Amino acid sequence: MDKLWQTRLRRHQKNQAKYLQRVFNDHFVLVLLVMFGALLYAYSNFVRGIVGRPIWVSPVVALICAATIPLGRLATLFVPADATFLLPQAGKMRGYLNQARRYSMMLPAVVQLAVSIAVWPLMTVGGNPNVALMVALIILQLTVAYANMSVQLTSIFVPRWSRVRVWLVAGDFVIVLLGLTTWFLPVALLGVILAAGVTYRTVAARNRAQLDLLTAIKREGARMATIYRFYNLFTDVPGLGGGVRRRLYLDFLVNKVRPVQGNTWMYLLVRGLLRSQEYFGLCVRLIIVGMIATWLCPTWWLALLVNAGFSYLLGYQLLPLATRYRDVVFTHIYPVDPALRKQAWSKLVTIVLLVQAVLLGLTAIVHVPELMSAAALLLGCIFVPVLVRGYLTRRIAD
Amino acid sequence: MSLEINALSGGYGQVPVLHDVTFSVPDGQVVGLIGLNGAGKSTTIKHIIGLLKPRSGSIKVGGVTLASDENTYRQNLAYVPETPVLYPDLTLREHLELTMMAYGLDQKQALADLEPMLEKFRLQNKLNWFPDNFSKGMNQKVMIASAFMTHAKLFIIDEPFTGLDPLAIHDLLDLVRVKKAEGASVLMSTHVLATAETAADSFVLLGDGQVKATGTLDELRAKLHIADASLDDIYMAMTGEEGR
Repeated sequence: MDKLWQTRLRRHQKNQAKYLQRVFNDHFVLVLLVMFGALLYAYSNFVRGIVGRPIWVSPVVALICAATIPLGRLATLFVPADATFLLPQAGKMRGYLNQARRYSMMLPAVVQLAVSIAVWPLMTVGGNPNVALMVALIILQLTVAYANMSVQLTSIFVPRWSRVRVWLVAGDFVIVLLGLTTWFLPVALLGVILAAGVTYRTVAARNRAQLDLLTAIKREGARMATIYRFYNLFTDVPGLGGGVRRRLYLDFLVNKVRPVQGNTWMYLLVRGLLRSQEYFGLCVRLIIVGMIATWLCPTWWLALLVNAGFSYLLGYQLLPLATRYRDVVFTHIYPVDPALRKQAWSKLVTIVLLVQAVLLGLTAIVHVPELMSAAALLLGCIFVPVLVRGYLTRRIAD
Repeated sequence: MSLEINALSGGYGQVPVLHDVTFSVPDGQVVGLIGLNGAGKSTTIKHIIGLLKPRSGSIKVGGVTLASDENTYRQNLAYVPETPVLYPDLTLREHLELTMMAYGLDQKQALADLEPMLEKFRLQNKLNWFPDNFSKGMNQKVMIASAFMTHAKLFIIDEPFTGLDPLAIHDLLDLVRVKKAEGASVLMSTHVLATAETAADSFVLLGDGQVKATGTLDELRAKLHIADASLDDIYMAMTGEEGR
């Protein structure tokens, strides 16, 4: 059974690495770094601006600590077929599950470490920045998180143990709040003892019960589905959201293409763009994010830069649309000039990018209502055909 | 001649699959392309529809090669693939419209022509469906309808009798007869010899990427000296020879 866990974990990690690579692509990492930097800067300014020790500080710290406890779910890596194939082994799964718990603790451990360090300036605000407080908080949070993981493990033996998770969160809140308003170190020690007690009790509860394999499989399926839904925001996950929707309300756009021979590829591409979850979702997502980003720009030239940047981003991500139908044999045997295929793509993408450029430009005008913002809108629109004809169309694979 | 293949050699990448293949399909004729798995039937078809480029030799459809006049060549050719592959983003109606556009057909006229065909295949109430919801047989019927509404001179049908129910096969053969009467010709590859025997006027027997024999059933019988042989017998005799 130990070997089974090892092989499953290796396969799982390989699979996850594949998706993470796509999620954290160069653009996204850059955006994240900038956002992280801005967040840190804003936080440090915020803490420095606090005078004395306001009454809300302790409850807020306690709330942050307690709210992060449920983060991190037990990854058992069970698959539906296990209900049949592992059933004879159900009594011998304890080693496997202990390894699963150890692996699952990695994420909460990192989160608790980061949160404890992050709230430290806030919890010591207006007092003396004592490192011992931070260490005590880290130990407390880790013990409670471990208890939470053990409770999750127990709840696939005895489902009603799930309820204990709520008590852990509430208890963590009370302990941290009590500690911050009285003496932190002894109260934190009490909290650690209580959490360890809960963990100890779970062992006995598991020993008395049998593994509920079906519940465990169902929960693991739900967990993986959540993860894949997250990945699907950034990349195409097979079997999830890659489908086609009719979107009848968009037919007025689709019907703009006149049915003549020269429009054959346009007829096809416009439907692919508007009906596939993949490309339509991409356009909507990027335009919304672009409008938010534009709203955050204080000057017209920054807004113009964002506008051009989003034209590039969306245009580049629409490149695969040009080759979407390569596997359909008719694409190759229709008596239509293949050169028209690239032209149709470039025409369609120009229209999409213009729509985006205008929406982003209008956002900038509303936010910074000056003449230069209007000029920026115009420049953003002029950039689109230059980008599409001069760069993007050349990047289409034949 | 609808189709003339002359000394065609070719295949995928570095490995030649076809060696010196020569045969032709006269106007108004149905020709069966017969051969074992791996004999080169699909490769031959891929060369004709232009997915593969000949290493040597030539292929003429309606008197022109792909290189000399691509548009006329493609206009004269309609194809029904063995495995149905449709555009996931288009409804059934849109697939038909797309084909009309691609072949430059008059939409109104083409739709009127299609009506009986759609009725025959029981597709007329599924015009707004997406391919995701089609059965395999439906997919194939959509492809057949798309191909047979064109005014092509040569129809190429890859394995038409696998995946279709007997009624649909019957209807397909009806369509073939109509096109034949209009002077078009049909090349179909198949293993289903009993149906091919009655549906085709003549046969091209392929083996190991070479043409083993061509001719009508009588001509093949004479060649192999088996009187009253069925296509099945002839085929078995030929493959038996191979084995020896």
